[in-house]
Amino acid sequence: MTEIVGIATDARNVDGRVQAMTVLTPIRPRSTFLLRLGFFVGRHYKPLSAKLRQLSFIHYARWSIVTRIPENGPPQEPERLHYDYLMFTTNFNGTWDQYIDAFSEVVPSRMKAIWGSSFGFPGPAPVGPFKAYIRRNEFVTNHYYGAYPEASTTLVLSALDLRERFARFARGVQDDIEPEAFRAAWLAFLTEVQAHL
Amino acid sequence: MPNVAGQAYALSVFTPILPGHADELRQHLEQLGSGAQSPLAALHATHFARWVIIDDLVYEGAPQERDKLRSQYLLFESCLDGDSGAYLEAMRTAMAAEADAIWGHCVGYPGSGAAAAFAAYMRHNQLEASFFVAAYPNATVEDVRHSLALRARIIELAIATQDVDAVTALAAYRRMVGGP
Repeated sequence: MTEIVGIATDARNVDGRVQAMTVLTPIRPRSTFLLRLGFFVGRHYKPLSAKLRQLSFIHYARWSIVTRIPENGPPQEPERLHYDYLMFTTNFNGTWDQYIDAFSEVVPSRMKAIWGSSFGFPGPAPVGPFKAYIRRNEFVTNHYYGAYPEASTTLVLSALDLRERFARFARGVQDDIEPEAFRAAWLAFLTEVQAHL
Repeated sequence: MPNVAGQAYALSVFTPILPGHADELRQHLEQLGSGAQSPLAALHATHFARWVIIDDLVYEGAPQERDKLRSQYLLFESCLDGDSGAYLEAMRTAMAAEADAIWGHCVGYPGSGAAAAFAAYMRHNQLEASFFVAAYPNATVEDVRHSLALRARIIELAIATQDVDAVTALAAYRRMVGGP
């Protein structure tokens, strides 16, 4: 039997168009080393993180292997846990369901490599049990802040690219440019960047 | 440095909540204003940040043995620009009262009065990231906000120059970029 502690999408996880997800799962004995190795490879083998970045709705995401709970003395009692824990936190736009669907469909082998080390992980597909697993192990956010909450990841990437292109365009506009020449250049620029607008 | 992606830094701090304080802390966090009213808005290097109270661990059933936390914990997680030391100092100074109102519910919190003690407490309770992914790792908060604002101005200009003569279009462009 499993206990449901986390919940799916709570309004407290949301700021504008951005959502927070916080998931904490117990790592099976003797699996921490392999998981750590996998993350090490992921950090140094760029295609791995590039594939995750292709999930174009993730602003920032991180996994942390928690092998000790920091001790601060009384009245905190030292924790005596059986397992290491895997903490996953992410900031994304779109719906919670779309997010897990994409994990299941686009990067299933990576999800298996990461959460396969945790107790209770049913596999990335079918997606129903995977979603139930994430829901069970998710914690609600008590306060969430985004500096640009109305912007999706795609919009941010688009705006950053547009800024560079506009800077190049602006450098090409001389102080004494003829109006007709400007208009032609401006129209060409708008055509070039229309996907960003 | 697994906490770093480009110029971005992943900060996670996991502190034990004083016995009997979790409900009051939860209530406090959940009544904080959002957006510009959030205390985190005072930390200009913050892309995204959150506080999460971890009451206990999830039990997935046998063969897992049940783990029970002896304290409740407060997770603070932030994606920030640049140097985490400067960020911790900004937390201590730019949101001092809020930091005290929040971490004052945690075991061992020294208060925002002393820079070294505050930073040492946060560092002591920091969790290291193992894998950090960022969609735009080299863009600061200011870069992102500026780019979004510029995009809006470019769209405005594109609309304004649609059906005007070339002289008017150039004048509108000059006004938009603040030039002659």
